[in-house]
Amino acid sequence: MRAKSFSGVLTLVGILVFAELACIVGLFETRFFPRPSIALGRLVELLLSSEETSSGRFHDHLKASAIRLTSGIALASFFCLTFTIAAGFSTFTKRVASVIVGFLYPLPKSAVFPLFLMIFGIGNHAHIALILIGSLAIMLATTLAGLQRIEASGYLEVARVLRLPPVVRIRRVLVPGLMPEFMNGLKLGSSYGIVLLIVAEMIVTRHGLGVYLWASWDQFKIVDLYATFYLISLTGLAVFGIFDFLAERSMNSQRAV
Amino acid sequence: MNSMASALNAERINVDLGEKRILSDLSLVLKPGEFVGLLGRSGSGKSTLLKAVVGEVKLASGSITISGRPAYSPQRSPLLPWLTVIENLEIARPSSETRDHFRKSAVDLLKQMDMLDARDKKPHEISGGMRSRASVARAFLMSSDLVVMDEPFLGLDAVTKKNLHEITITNWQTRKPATLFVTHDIDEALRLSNRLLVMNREGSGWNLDIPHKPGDCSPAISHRVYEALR
Repeated sequence: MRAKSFSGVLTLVGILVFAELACIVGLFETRFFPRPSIALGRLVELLLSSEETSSGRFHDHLKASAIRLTSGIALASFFCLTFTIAAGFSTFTKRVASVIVGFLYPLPKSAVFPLFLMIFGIGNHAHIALILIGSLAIMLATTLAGLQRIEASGYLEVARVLRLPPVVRIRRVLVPGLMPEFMNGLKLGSSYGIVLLIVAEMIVTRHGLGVYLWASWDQFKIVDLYATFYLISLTGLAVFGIFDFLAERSMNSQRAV
Repeated sequence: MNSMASALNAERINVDLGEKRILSDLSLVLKPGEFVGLLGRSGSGKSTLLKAVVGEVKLASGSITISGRPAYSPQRSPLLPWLTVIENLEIARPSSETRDHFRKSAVDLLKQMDMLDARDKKPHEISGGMRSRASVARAFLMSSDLVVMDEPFLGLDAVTKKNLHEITITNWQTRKPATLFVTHDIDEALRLSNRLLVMNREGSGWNLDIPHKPGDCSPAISHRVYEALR
């Protein structure tokens, strides 16, 4: 795990150093691609100061996006686990959950956003609903695959023949059994949720990283634009790293015997 | 036969898997105190019969009557890999038993099986023989009147298998629940069983159904079972 983390950090640092050198020697046009050290420095400045920009304080944008993202992902996680656990008890629910995945998965989620705006109005609810729908499809698809795996491994059969009470079956069999795929679903769902959030925030709202990005483009603040890119990418990287670690840990506890 | 006096009464059961009929008009009665070795050719429907008994496959027709909940040791992955050995035993606790009493019984059984050191280990941290022992232990801890085991000693070396046979018989003798176990090993069936069953290839009846003296591995009885299997 340490070696894996080290190689990951090394790769990231390598890319940034390459970009920095490319800017210095003139390989990259710094008007459109500022040096990473400058953009990252600006990011630190934005995070540490409460600087007021024309589009508002960076902190307010960050806070708005974080609330929408965590609310959407938390709701998607709740529905995903509820559906999958229910599917572990009945084949009918399993079929219903599969239909939900099949219906939601190919739908271009950003295309549904205007509908959410009509239903929920301009506010957090429409953004949260968009993240919920987008992440849920991915999370359900992966977690249902986990259900298939533990069924094929015979663990659900053990739970049935031992006639475990529902609470014990959920706590001792379904939840720990589904964890690796659920964590992978969280990893992919959260990353996709970030994409949807930024796109939706660019369309309509007063606060959010999408708004800040759009305002930076509008006022040609390239360094601010890149500072936000770095923040989004680093957040995505952290989400990947954390859920990858948790998925691997829960998979290790299910080592085949 | 009176179904109330039997631990298991399967009457003319039919089981289909997809388009194929696996068990056809099969009947079986197990009395309390019987330790039945169930043999048969591969694909004859032995495991399907066990799954039907524990309710894991649906009957197309016929009926199965069991007194209480059967204890079942399935063929593969019987232990949950994310739980420790002791936790794997404890999830089988019937609601009628207190947690402390059941834990004491589980610990006593592990001690008897020389597995006390493994109580807090995960299944992947112990040997295959220990996992089989834990699985058999769980089946007997359930205090059921009917124990059903699907090839519980599969893939074990000769010494481990012999030890496990002894442990199984010792545990069985405390309450003598009706026990039905599937095996492909004729010697194993002769060593453990007090009744021998050989299922026919069609899953519709028995080529052999005889009482047996456990431990009698004489060539004559061995040959008889072998002929019934052919």
